[in-house]
Amino acid sequence: MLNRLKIILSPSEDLIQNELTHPITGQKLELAYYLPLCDETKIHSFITVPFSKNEYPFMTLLQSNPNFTKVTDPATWTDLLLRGQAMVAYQDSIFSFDALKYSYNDLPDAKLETSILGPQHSLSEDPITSLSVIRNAYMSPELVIDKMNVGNLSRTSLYIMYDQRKVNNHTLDLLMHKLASIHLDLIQSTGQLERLLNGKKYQLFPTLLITERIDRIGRALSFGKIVLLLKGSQYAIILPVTFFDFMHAVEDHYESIWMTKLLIILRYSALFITTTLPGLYIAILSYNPEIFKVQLTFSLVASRSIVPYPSFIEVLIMLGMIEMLLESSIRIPKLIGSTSTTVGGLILGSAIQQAGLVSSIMIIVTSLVAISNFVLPIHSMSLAVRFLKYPIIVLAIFLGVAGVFLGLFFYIVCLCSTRSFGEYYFRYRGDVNSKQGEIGGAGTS
Amino acid sequence: MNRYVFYHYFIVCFTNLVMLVPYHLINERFSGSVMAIILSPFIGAIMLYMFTNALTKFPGEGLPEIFDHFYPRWLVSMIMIYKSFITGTSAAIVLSTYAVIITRFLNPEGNPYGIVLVLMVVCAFAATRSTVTVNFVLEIVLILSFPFVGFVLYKAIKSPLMNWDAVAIVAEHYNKMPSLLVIASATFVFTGFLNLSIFNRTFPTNFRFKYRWLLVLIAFIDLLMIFFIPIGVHGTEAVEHYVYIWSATADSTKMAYGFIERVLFLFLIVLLHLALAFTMVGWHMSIEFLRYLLPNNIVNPDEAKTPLRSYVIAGGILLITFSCMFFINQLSMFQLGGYFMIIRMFSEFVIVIWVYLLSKKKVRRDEKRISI
Amino acid sequence: MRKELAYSFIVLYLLASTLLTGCGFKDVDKRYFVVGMGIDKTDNEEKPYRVTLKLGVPSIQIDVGKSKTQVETIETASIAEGVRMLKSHVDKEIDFGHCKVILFGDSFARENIREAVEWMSRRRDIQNIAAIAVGSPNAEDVIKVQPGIERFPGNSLNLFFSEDATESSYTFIESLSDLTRRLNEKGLDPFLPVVTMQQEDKTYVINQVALLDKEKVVTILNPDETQLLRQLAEHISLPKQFGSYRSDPYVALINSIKTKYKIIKTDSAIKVDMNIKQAITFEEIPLNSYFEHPNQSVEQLEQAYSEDAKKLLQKIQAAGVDPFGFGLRYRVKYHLPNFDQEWPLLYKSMEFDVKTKIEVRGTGLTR
Repeated sequence: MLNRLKIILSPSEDLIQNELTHPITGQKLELAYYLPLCDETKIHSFITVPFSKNEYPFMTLLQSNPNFTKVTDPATWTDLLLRGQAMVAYQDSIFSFDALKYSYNDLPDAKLETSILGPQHSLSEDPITSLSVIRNAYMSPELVIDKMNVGNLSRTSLYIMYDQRKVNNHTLDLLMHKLASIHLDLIQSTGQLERLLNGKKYQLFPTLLITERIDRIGRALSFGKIVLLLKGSQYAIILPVTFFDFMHAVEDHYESIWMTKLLIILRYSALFITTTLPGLYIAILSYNPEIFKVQLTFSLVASRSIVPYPSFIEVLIMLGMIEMLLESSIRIPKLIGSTSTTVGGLILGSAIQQAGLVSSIMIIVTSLVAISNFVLPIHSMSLAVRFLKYPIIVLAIFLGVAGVFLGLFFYIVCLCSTRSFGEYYFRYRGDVNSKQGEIGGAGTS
Repeated sequence: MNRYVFYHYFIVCFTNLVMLVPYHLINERFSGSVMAIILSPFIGAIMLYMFTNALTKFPGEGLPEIFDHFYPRWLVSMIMIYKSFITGTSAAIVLSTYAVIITRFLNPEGNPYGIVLVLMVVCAFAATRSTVTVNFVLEIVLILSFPFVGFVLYKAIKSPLMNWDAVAIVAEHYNKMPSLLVIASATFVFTGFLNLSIFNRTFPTNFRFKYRWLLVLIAFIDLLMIFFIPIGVHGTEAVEHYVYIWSATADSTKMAYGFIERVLFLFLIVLLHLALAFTMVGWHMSIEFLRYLLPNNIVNPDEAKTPLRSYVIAGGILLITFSCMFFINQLSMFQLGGYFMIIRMFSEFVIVIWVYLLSKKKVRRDEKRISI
Repeated sequence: MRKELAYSFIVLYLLASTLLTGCGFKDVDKRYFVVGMGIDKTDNEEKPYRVTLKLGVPSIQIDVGKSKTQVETIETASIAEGVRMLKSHVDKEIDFGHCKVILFGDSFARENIREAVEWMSRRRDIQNIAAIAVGSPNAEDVIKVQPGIERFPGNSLNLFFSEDATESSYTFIESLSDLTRRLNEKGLDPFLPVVTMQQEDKTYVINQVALLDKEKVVTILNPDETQLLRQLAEHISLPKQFGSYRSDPYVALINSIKTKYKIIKTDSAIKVDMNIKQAITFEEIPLNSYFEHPNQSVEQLEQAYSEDAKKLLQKIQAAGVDPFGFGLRYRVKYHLPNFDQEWPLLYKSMEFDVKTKIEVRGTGLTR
């Protein structure tokens, strides 16, 4: 049976295949099961221990215990194994033993990416539990799980998962090459691994997606992407990714279709707003106030007339305060957490405008910028986008409206020239017909 | 894959129509422009079909490699220098015209040389990216700009100022013979396919050109609209008073229900992106042509790391263009632009016919090799 | 190492060059927006122009009646110089970007407006969609009027000329690009609305139109004729209100009107064949009159309308101007290489034939 199984299933680290030979009676027992899916203590107490103790004939145990079922059809072996059964081959007959372990209760809640209707749990810091959840989510015999150790001192185990039928081998080679070239003593978190695996050092946008959600990992595996899992960290890395994967939340597949399409459009508008709005405020108010209608301009002038210094100083002050507020709310102890929202809301909002330090239009602009920044679903992209507005502010100060859109063009060029492990990062798909070739000869389908 | 051919065609079509070409066409609107507009799609279609048919015989190869099959290296180097000069100059003309437009409308007190310098640095940076990246940037910029261009055209046609009588009057002068300058201007619009001389490297080997007639048709409709709409909006006489005719036309319409009232600013921003994309493509082609002359040149349409030679060549192009700005002012830019277009028309004829003959030669050479 | 050096060089270059271009930075509260401009004629030989600028003062409160403006006047030899001189009279930068209304004084418009219009179209910051009008008795007095209920400075006059505010059937709106076109075109003549003021209410009254030839005002129509011209030339301006038409005892509100004309040239004369199609609703009609004899009221209205339209066209013809564009239409069909000499004679001899067709949409709520 084990030889047959080696042919059917893809090689993976968590498939335990044992051939036990009793030293005294000489009987052979073949045992195969997926470690993350099965409860090992059950297997030991019902199969291995009675076999080694040999108090009763083993065949009576197999036939009398209702947990054992005789299996006649070899086509069902993979299905049974993936559902947490252990296969036992003894004296030319094959039995399956139900040892399924459900560990959904041990999982922590998803903190970074929440959804309303989807699964609420994230991966856990114990790799075996995470692997069991992933195996349960992606029940395919083609799933390969490899293991290697990274870090010279810490020897942290890293699990590499992919579907061997769908994966792009070129990407896999690139990844192995990159992993082999990591020479660091301690690797303790996924974020560190991401920094090391990223393409260039000073790039603007993240090229690996860090996630904790099981449904996103399952979906990525089904598209042929590679998932990396580090022991001791509850976040997994998905690669290769495109820019559009970062803008897509898992709920786009669960909820009503028209609303989700509208929400995707909203996310792109939020991206545009959060990048260009402070720059446009400076450019329009100080360079070309004739862009707006005359009534709107006079309203803006009315609110700006109380402020004694030029518009870009105002913008920099407000943005600086918002960044400090956001940073402090990550680190503030929970007991004083509510004070910070009061401080932020009252002081930054109304008091500073009544004191005449900042115009009310600026308050609206700042809050819009802050809110639209967090519409983006993935945290690493949201952080990358938070930086993008500052060069545009500099360009707006010196060049006006043309500078803002020049900066936007520059960002488009940077986006299009990023490659994520060989995959084109920012490219409008259209229909890619597999009969025609691909452009440039690289990229996956 | 076919859509990239469309993008290259349209970037040349749109950008040139609002920059240089209307000036010359409208100057001679009573003496030959209409005839030139009618003749130009035929000339453009013939050149397009000849060039693309020739390129299908050389899959995945750019112009330097095509010439390299047949001619010794010194001849090919001279041709490459000439072609790089032509392409670089047309891109530089577009960019400096647009910088002047910015100085007029958006930032009248800014230093014009500073503005041109910043625009050129950004374009030079974008031009040093790999060929595949330039394709993608072009695609994104065109997809983002296209709805706004359509909106401005629609607003202009539907505005109450549009006077079809004036259009009819100018159109009745179709039986005058055009001068060389006007034919060169009109055919300039249809020459987007020459970008393929470098971008053919990115196409896969089994690529076939489809819907080429659609390219010519859309460019022709565009040329008609962009010649006749200013005449309808401004009348037959006042239209030659304006220096930048399409800016004035876009300014004559009104978006009454938005918070931006002048359509001019929308138009200028879209034009900025189109001009930047056009310059990026033109300078990228110049860089690729000049790289052929340097030794140890590796041709890779999807380079991971830009080699230093690209940056050096880009810097050189930047310096030459910038220093030329000191000698040329607004008036001479239009006159020199006219001469440049005539030179360009003839050199394009020559290149297209030459490449076509070379493709025939290759077919004969391959047949001979097979039969041996 | 070399790569980092190259990158830092490029970045420094960029930064250094961006510092050169910041001269245009001027905050919005350091600018004075011009919200109305008037050009008059003086009796002074050396300083023939009198330029009036109405500057909007930004104020913190946006409320009814709280808008403040400041009016500056100067007499100058040329308009461009005068505007530059006015800059030294105020403490902030003068910005023409929001100047949407420009008035010519009555006496100035009767002399020559070409130079002023050319100055306006040459400047980059005066919008092509700015509205031009004639101020009567002179532009300075009209500009100085400060209505008591304005919210934004200069807004009241602006709203007269914008489509989303009042849509009056007596108002023609003429934009700068249209005026430039009509001043230079062969076969189309300009027109300008006339703005007067009502001293007691401190508001504006715009219900007349002035017709110009290529340089100056030739005639001013009275309000009834203005409304009729509005209806006949519905394709000229955008607002879609057409007003009413009175022919005792009927008063009809015109819902929609479409005018088509053809120019037919026979050996003896040139004839303009005009067909008008209207859809009306009765506003004042003797009770039950329409339902009892429908044809009678319609016929009377059609007759009366055609006659009035013909009279108006002949009056405009006698003044020698052509706001409709008959010249342009003539040029389409019959070429006229020597337009300036030949057209005035041809125009004088044109005959008009007007036919009206009226469709009644209803009589309101009662019979």
